[in-house]
Amino acid sequence: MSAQRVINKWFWILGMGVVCALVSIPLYQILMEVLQTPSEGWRLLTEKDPDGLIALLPEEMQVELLPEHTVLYERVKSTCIILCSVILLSTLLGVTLAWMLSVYKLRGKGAITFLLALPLAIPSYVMASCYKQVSAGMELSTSIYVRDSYGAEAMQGYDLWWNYSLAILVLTCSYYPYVFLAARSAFCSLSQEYVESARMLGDSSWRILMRVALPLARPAIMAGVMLVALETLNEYGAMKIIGIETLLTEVFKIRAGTNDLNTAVRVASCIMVMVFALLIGEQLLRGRKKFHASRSGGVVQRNQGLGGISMGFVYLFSALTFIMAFALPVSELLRLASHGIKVTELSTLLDPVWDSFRLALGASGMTLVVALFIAYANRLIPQWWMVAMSKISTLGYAVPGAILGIGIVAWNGAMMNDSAAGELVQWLFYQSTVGLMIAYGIRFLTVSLGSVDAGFKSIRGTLDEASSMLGSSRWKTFLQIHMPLLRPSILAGLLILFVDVMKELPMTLILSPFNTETLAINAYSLFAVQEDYARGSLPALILVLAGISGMAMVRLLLRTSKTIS
Amino acid sequence: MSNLLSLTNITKSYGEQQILSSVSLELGRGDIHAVVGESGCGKTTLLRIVAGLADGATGRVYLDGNDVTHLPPEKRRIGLVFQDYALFPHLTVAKNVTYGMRGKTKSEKEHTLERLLAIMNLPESAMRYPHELSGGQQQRVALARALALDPALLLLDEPFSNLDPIRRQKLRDVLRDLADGQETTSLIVTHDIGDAFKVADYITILKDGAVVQTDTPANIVVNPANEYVERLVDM
Repeated sequence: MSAQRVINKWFWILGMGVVCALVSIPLYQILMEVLQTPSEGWRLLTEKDPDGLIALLPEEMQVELLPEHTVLYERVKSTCIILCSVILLSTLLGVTLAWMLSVYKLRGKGAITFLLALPLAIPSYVMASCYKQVSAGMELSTSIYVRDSYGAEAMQGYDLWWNYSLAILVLTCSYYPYVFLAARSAFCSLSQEYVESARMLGDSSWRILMRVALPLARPAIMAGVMLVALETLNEYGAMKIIGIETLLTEVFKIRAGTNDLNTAVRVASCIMVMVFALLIGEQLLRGRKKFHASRSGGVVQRNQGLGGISMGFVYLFSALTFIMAFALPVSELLRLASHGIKVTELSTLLDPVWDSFRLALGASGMTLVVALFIAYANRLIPQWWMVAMSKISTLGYAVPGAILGIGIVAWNGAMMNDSAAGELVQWLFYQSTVGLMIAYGIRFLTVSLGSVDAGFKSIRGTLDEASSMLGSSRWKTFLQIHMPLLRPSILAGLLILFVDVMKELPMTLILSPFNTETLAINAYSLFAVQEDYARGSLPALILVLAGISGMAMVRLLLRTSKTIS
Repeated sequence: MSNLLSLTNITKSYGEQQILSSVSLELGRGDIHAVVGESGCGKTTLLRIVAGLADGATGRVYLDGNDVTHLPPEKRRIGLVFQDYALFPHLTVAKNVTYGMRGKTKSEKEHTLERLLAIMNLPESAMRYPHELSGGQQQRVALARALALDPALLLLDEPFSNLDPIRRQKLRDVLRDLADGQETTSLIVTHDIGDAFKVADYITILKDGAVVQTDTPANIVVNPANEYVERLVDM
């Protein structure tokens, strides 16, 4: 191998090393904090009587005052209740809609699918605020009924039940599209021959769904379910607005109160344990089985007809879902905006709009460049260790944004010294726009990389070889051959990332510089802190509009992009 | 002996394109009948019409004297082996083979499984997954699965493609044993007339969706209906 090629190879390896290091550092720092001696705050969470004051009281008073469980136990319990309920309901709803919209002949299937995916454009904390407003009247009348019928003692239990129900409804509405889109894609690419085989062997439609389609679509459905789980574990804004205390709200409480970083990291690591348990559980369930379901001749090509009543049910079910998950929250936002906004207040939005725009543009552009680097490195050096490094670089997506933020803060703290490295870290990451953009990049690299990687894979290797035979360098081939062919993938990746960054709240709350307030923070502050729903509706509407536009443009891009065989 | 399968004037079009044109066919019990033709002549479509998987065709399909033209595939008691086998990748060989055996007891399923795996020479494969088998083994599992329901008729779509000469011979032997030993009636679709000659009792030659000749292999060689058949035989 020539010296030049050796240098080139090391360029890619070092670049990948830097990316992997940046991604791993927050997780490494969390691990280091957990291994240190727990601080006082941890004792307050894990002991029922941390101050020992209750133990000094008479026994009968101790029984009354001693809490049944520790604070940490309660937070873990509430997190698990929300997580399991949202996963179950999102999966049921998503899979049912996906099956109906992929197997049966229906008019307007494409449009219905797009509309049912629109809830992704509404940030969950915005949806929570809308539902809180919409349900306020109902909550009041039912609480009066409960108090009158069962007494004031029943109110605490009722309040808890109401808040849990609202939180589960809001998060299900927000996140079911992840399962819906994944399941629909899997059902549509399911080989028609598997379905026909099952029919020849005597199966009805229901049995085909349960015994063939669902098992074969399981990897895709599980990928959607994992996204639901990760987003739910990362949920802060909606929980705060509704009033449910979870592990993540406890992290923020600690940061805002005692600023006890060690305890905050320990609580965050409990969330990471749940994430790893989910990932390992999914791998174990998969076992030795293979699920090659993607072949030519998908289910969609030979759809089954539906009777009048059944078709009516499908349309009604889809319409109800759309109304609950999108139309109702958006119409509430519009109502709030139309009633409470003064034109003079519009100028207060200029700074948040600018902050959101520049952060989203900067982060998505920077992340896209890194994604192109990683995808191209894999194309040039298709070795197992390069693939392993690429997988490490995408770890950030499996980590809830708030925990990444905590990890970066912990790293800042650890590097607070007078060394050159320490100063560089502080300059880069401590309360800086660049640091926040890098954090977004770590979190959302998977999104960009997925799009770019798929684009590269659709470009045959023989095109590179042909370019090389005609005298072009690798750089020239990349600019003149790859980039034009990758344009749809790049734009799609850029758009998806842009919208994700704009909506992001927990990590932004932790890492944003003092003089930066994004639309997400602005909307959240107005909804959750100031409870000014009317003023909060405007930044919320801008976020929703950005989300819808992004989704529509991505859909258009994917439709018009040419396939390179 | 009455015919098991009778096709009468089967015609099928996709839009303006005529796929099958008044195809009529008779299959005797225990026969191996091959439908031969070039790619795109309509032979797979004919197979799918017999199976009940293709709609929009005119004409009648009779199975064992009953008109099954509009009967759904799961009610026809027909076994179908797809060209790429369509084994369920998430199920073991055992579960694939016994998939359609609803209402049978566990011991009946085990007995049938053991018998069929022995016939197919796959005695140790019950707990393996399709991706852990070779192509030839996968085909035999697909055949076992189709036979597990004791079908009146067995359909095979291009069973000899992608097989080397030794495996082709083995498959021909299996089909012959099934026909002679168990009176299994088979309808095979293939583009290779050589394979058809070696295994079939009767051959139907299709060209552009129409039947050119139906006869025994010997008669086709001795008395080809036209130049096309003659050319096909020479190949």
